[in-house]
Amino acid sequence: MKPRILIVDDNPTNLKLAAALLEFEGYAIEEAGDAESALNLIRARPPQLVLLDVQLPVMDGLTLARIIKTDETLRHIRVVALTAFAMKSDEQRAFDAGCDGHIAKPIDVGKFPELVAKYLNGASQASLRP
Amino acid sequence: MTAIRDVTERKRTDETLRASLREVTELRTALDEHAIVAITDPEGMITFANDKFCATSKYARQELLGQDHRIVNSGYHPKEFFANLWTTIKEGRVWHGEIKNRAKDGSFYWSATTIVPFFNKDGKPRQYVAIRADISEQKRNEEAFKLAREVDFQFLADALPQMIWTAKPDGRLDYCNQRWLGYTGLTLEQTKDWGWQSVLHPGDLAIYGERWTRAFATGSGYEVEYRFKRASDGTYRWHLGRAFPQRDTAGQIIKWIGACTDIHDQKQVSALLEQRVQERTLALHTSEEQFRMAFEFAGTGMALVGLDGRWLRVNRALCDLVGYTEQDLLGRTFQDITHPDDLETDLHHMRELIAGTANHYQMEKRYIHRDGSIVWIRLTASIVRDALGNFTHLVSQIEDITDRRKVEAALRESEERYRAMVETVQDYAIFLLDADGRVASWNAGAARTQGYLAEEIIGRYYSVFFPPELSNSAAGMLAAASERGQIETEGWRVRKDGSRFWANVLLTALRNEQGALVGFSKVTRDVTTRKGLQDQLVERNAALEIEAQRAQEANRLKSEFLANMSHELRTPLNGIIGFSSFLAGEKPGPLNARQKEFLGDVLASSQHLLRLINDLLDLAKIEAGKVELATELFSLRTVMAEVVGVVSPLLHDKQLDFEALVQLEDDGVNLDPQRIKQVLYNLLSNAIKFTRAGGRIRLLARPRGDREIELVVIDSGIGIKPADFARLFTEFQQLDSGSSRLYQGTGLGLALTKKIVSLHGGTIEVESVVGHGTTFTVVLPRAIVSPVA
Repeated sequence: MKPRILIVDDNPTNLKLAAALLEFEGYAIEEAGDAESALNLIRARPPQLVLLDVQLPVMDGLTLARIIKTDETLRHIRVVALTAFAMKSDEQRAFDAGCDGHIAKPIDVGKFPELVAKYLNGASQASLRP
Repeated sequence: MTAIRDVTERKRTDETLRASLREVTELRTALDEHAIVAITDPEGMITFANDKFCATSKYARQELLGQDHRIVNSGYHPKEFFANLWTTIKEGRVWHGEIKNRAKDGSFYWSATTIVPFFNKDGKPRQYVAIRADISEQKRNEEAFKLAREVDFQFLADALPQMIWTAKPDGRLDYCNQRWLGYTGLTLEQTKDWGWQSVLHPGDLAIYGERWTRAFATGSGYEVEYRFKRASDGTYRWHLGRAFPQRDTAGQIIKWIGACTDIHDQKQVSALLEQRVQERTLALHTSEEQFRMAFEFAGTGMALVGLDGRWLRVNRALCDLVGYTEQDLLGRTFQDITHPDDLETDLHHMRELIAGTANHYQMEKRYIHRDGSIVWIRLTASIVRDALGNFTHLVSQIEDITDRRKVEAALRESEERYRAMVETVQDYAIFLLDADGRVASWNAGAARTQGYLAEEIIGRYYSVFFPPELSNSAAGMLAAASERGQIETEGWRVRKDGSRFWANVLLTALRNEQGALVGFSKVTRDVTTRKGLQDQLVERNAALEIEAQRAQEANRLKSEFLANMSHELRTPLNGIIGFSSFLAGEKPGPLNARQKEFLGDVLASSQHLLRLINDLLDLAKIEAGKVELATELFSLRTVMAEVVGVVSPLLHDKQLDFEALVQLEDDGVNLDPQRIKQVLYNLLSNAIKFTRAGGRIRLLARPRGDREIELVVIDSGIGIKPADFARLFTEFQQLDSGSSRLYQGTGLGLALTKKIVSLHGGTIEVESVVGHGTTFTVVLPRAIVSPVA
């Protein structure tokens, strides 16, 4: 069975890019344009990995990450921030919210599938730091 | 014939002898009849005593024989008498004399004695023959006669109230009159010879003996004072003793006659008198001496001045004061050295003294020093009378007050200056309060500041200056100033017209030398304007504070804006770069050559845009002080290899001759490895960019001193003109704008590099020759100590 990945992004283009790249790699992709619908999807059918944009309308991505990671039934889900907040401090904030990883936009298309595969396999945060 | 002659001779000798013996016998009989005959051996022992001796001495012959003549010694004669006798006979001479002897029954008899010494052939005395005639009767007559005279004398003497005595020529006392005996309590018997000395004061024995000895030696009378013990009270009293010798017609001393007079009371009185006189003399002498010393060595000038002004006596201090010698002054008058302006006053005072209307005066006056300078003095003069009450002279005390006058003058001057200053000060109200807080003085500034005239305000309690709601604090301020010495306050005060002003007040307690509070000085300044300015300043500060907060906020907003801008720029770039590279990778499907080339251009442009965004963000963060170095110990060699790895495709593309050399024994440094990578990347990519294909690039790491390292990038590129060095490290200054197409860059790389190096406490240097190449040298410390640690 293909691992399922939920991509949460309010920018349709970037959502489409990530989805296209990962579908090409053979993952099952679900999409959400905001945190609330993403949470509903997660609760309905938890994915293996959530790629989470940080800046989202209404509820931001880090809040969602906190909800997932403080929920006993959801915390096993891998959560990786996929964000244009590329500064070191942004990375730290993501980890503080409970994210397992951080990928800065613009993404390196050549390395992206590789990174995703590593997070899915439960690689630690530190070893994946660029 | 001879025999007959011998017999005849012998016969004749015998006849002669017989005749002689007969003669001797007759003579002896005659002697025995009339004379006392005694023969003694050389030691004086009696070997023969005739009947007459026995009869006269009333001793049996046996009692006399074997004794010496002391057996009949009467004790009458002094020892010297017998010593003289013995000396005479031992020398072989015949001795004559009258000796008083004592018979066995104690009666005395006088004998006229002749002693004949007989010597052996060897010259030694063999025996002495004493022949004495009893002259007692004659003596008795004599003595009876003398006694008769004595009795008359004694009768007379006893009748005198004077103590009278007589002594024998040898000094032995033989008589004292009744007065004498009554005074001393001795009997006549007790006084005899030297017995009287028992009442003489032992301390006077020596002088008395000395006088007697001299009297004997010279045969003259004497006068001596000595003490006798008075029987009535047992006290020794002084006597004047006089003695003179009585001589016979031949001039021989036959008697000493003396008189004693009790002079004790007299003597005591005179001793007392003498003592008094001595004391008085001493006292006078001492006080004179003391006066002289005090006068001469007094610290102040002293003088005796005649009524005409002549110096009679001057002391050293006065001479020093006016510069004259004692002789100089004594030839002058005080008028001579008195300042003309002071003379009349001085003379006036002096006339008053002489007139008797005053007995002293004091004045401050000037003398003219010999050198012409002025000497200020305080004169105290008093007048002296003689025993008859006539004025004789003046006693002057002259105290040098030149220094005091100078100080006073200086004080006066400074006081005047102070007063003038206070009076002319317009901006400050300067006035005095008495100890109770009432205004005591008022200056022009006070009048101007507070609106009162001096006559309106002096004497009023100073709370009048306070606004009504503060007037209660007036007393408290005085108390505080009194306690602390001085207080400075600011507050509203009221002018006479009721208007208010903001006052700066300095209130100082004034104390006298004893420390008692005498008042306060108050300096009040109208600082309303300043107060306004101050208030403005406070407002301005508040405004600045707000501005600062705003700036801070703006800075925050700027950072936020930068972050947001970065985010917003990256978001579309993500799509552009992502899809471009996705397509360029031909994963969605194959592309023809032209498509592939144009897609490559899109990618390159968007990559450039991304670098630009990243560099801008870095610069902004560094400028905002938001970058903190993450230092750690790392191997420089490793970091260099990583960077070389990143740029190696570019090196390879241009076929550059590249070499990286680490010339460090220890390549461990404690810096921020990411930032060092950034520096190396920027410098290397610059070098690659500006070096034509086939050129040469070197990267060196080498030590600089003990504590620093150098990172050197040398290229053989186009070079930089020296004139451009200055703007090399400025943002967006890519040199030679014409080359921009050829050498693409953000224009931020070197600016960012320099900032990173500076953050590490290092420097960056550049050397270049246009057309030949450029060398960038980065100097960094081996380690930077974390500022927090």
